[in-house]
Amino acid sequence: MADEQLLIEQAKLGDMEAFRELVERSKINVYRLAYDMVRNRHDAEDVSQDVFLQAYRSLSLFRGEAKWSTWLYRITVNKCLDHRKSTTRKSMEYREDIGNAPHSEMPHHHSEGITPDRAAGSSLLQKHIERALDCLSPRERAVFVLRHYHDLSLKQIAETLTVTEGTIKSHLFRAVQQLQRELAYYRDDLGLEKQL
Amino acid sequence: MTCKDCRELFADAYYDEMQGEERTAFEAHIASCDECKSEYRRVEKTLTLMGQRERVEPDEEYWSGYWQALKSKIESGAQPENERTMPVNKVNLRPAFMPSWAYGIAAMLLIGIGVYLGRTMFVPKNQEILQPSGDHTVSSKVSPDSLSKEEVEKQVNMYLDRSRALLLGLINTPAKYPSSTNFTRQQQVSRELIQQASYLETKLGGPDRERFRKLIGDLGVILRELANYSVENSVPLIELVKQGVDKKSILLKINLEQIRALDSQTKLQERTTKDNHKSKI
Repeated sequence: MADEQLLIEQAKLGDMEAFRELVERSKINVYRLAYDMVRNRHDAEDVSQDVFLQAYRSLSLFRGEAKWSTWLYRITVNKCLDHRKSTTRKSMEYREDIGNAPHSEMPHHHSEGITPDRAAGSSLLQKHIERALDCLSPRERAVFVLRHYHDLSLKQIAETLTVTEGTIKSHLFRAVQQLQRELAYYRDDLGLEKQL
Repeated sequence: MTCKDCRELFADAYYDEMQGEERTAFEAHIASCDECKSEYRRVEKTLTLMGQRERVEPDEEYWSGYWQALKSKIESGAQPENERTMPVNKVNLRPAFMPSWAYGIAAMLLIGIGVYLGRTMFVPKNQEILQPSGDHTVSSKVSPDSLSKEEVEKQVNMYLDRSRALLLGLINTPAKYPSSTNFTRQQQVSRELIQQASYLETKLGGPDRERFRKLIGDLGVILRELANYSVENSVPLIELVKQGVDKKSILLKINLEQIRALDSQTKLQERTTKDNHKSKI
């Protein structure tokens, strides 16, 4: 990643094009992590812009001890946790329930070949998954989404969240246990055993 | 491997975070235990199900205007939300359901309780000092006023010996020990040393006191880090101690202090011998 290192050095010197290139390379991953944490498209968009704004202002603090992506993920998790705190304070609700979310917030199923029945089934599954994620604590969710959806190793997650690998393991263990409980009905009683 | 051990490894097994003997033992247990086998199958299904999650992605239009929107914010000097509370090199995992003022009150209460406990339980009583060697849990009754200069120096020397032994023991811990190794005993000794140092400091006078105060100041930084170390800390304890010892050159300072003390003891002995000799004459 010598190329990335060069871009970072140039960006530190005020080269906006270099910073733009860094943003272009990582914006989708940052958005996705933000979405996985706040699980609302508009909030995730805001958070992702905030992450890069923060990254730009803090570039001088980036010493290259961690990877650029790790650093961005760290800022993203921080932003999401703070976002969650501020929305919790405002509404005393963690997030709008995806089941009650406007249609635009639900994943789309317009592709050809997806029948209304399948779309409804998929929508139900999405609802269950989102509700299961809702039951995780912020730290369990951060660990779970980084491992499950972003494919970071436990070691990388420990580096990102600045805690020990042992702590990450125990959060992941509890997260998986919780998801097991939350999805038991859907997994076992709706005959999903056969589908999977 | 017990069923409990095996179940604790389900996530590690699913995410392929196990290697070598651990994996072999896990697989052997799963092969021989029907209950764990079916439970693990359920974990696999749950996580496969979680993998079917769909994200709502922004459209092309959003991405095409992404940089322009960000650039405008940068150029307008917009501040990211919560910037002042956002450390970029640390993740703040404070739970979301408590407002920040609640943490302030909790912190004040904890400090108050700490001060109260410290005053009532940990400050050495006038008649009590901790034995720096031998059975450390036993305290000996010595009237502080009755301690001669030599006795205080002896106590200081023993205090330094014990500190050095503690630090050397830690920094020479073999690398094979896992970072999760329990150092409760060492932390307890460290607390005793901090307590003992504050007592001895009051017993020394003149230039000795200044020198000793400086030394225990440096030593105290490391001992306090050790005493307050928690497993949540991202730096392993041994590493932390090594860094402290290196940074403060603490072992060298202890050695110098002891050489100085030895020198003064030798002079004292010489003087006493001379005095005795004179009185005999």
